[in-house]
Amino acid sequence: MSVDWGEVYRSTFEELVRFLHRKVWDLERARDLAQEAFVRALRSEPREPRAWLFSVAINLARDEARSVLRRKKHLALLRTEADEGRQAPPADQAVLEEEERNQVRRALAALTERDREVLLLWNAGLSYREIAELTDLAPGAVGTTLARARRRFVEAHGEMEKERAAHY
Amino acid sequence: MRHITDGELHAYLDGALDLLPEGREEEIQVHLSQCTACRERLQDEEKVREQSGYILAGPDLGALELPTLEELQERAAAPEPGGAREEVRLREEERPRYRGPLRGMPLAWAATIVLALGVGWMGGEVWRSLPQEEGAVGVRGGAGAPGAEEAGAGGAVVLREDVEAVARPGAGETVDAARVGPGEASPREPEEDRRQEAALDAESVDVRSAAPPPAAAPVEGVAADVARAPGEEGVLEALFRSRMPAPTLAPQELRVMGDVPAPEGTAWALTGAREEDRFPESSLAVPGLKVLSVEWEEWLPGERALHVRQLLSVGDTLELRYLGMLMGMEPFEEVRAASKAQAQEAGVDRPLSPAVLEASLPRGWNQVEMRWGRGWLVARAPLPEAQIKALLRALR
Repeated sequence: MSVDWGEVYRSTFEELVRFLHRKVWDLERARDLAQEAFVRALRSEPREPRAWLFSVAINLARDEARSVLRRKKHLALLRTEADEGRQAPPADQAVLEEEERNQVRRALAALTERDREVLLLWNAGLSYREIAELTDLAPGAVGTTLARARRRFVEAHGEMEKERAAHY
Repeated sequence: MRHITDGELHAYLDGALDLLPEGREEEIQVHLSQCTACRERLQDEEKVREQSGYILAGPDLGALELPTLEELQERAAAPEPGGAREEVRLREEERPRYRGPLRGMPLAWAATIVLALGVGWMGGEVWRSLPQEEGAVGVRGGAGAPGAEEAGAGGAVVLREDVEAVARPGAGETVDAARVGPGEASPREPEEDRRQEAALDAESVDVRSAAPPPAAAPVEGVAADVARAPGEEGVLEALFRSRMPAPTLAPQELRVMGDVPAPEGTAWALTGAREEDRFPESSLAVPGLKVLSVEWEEWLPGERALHVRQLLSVGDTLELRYLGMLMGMEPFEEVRAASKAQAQEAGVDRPLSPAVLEASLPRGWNQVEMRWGRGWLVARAPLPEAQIKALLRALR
């Protein structure tokens, strides 16, 4: 059965970029990785391209995270986060949005890797079955994992909101 | 009937009904209508689900610049250098990177910004040249300074130098900006700027009170005739002359007082403007989008909007209006109210007042207003607000 790549591209590519952005937190890298995954999919022609794409994307994001660690980029990231507390009040919308993005990032970091993965995959529009395939969870366990991830994420974000409110 | 398990509850909530046994969905519905405890559990989960989705959804990344499917297919069809295994091992800097629509043109972004800057300079040149080139219109410093009447007869743009000439009839030494190159027009002394400010304060020339302009005063003709010997023409000017459409000025509707864009360091720096009032350099047009026109518009008496039109796609434009750049700004709402009141009082349609801007928003268009320096930037486009905001972020 031939794959309708136009449909796959329309329904998946942008979501793939957003998914990867929440993994690597660098839009350009997310775009690169999504492109990489899609090109590989076009070459491999998998039977379930959508799940396949996210599977490759997860691996690419992991590789990326490792290479970031190798390059010790994390030091810069940690510095950025530590600096947040000393920043002047936001001057404009862009700064505010960046701050919110950082908050989302930190709230996601408060989850276990599996919980985070499940949450982000669900957010990218994947079904329970697709998530189960990608994470080696039993389909019946996806819902519980997802519910736990959501709750922890919301709580962590709430904590950060409180911190932010106390700071200003 | 037994209570709903956590797994069933989540599957029901997330629509993963294919995981439920046959008939269980209906049972759950019936149970929820009877069991308060399970209903509350569902509501609680629903709330967390919504919150989590809301947090993850924003702040949005806006419109993403993505490669097309054709580009991806092209890349997939290209032979893999050294095979797939080697490709995986490529270092980050070696890996092919998406560069968007300007791929293959490393300096295209820079060129685009320069183009955008150049439009402003050219716009200024065109306006400067308006009265002179048309002969019968406008006031030109040092040329006998015929005065405001003649400026009115031109029905067009009264430039900074022109106003100065009106205020100081003997100002024969005034530099005629249309006759000097970009590098020459700028070095005006601060003292001269202050004099000009004073002159401006003393004069207010409203061309609409004067006779209407000659019917045949096509701006295109003026744009094509900026007086300059071929040898004096800069590369940018030549580029713009050949590529850019003439600014769509409606001279009889336009009143310009005070500063005009002048090539002082950059094309966008405003002569005589206080430092803090100057436009942020190189950032008045969204990089990567073709600039269709740049023009001054009257907004309120004594206030102007710089109107930048950029091409989004065929037939669609992004409209940027920079308001209140040179004035001490009142809060926007007050200005809006004043504008409305003045429009009513004068019984005229003020096409550029924010209120009318809003009222005239075409169907399918959105408007985003944001602080810009001491003034405002009003952006309109046939795009969702989030995408307009994303475009505006590129200005910074």
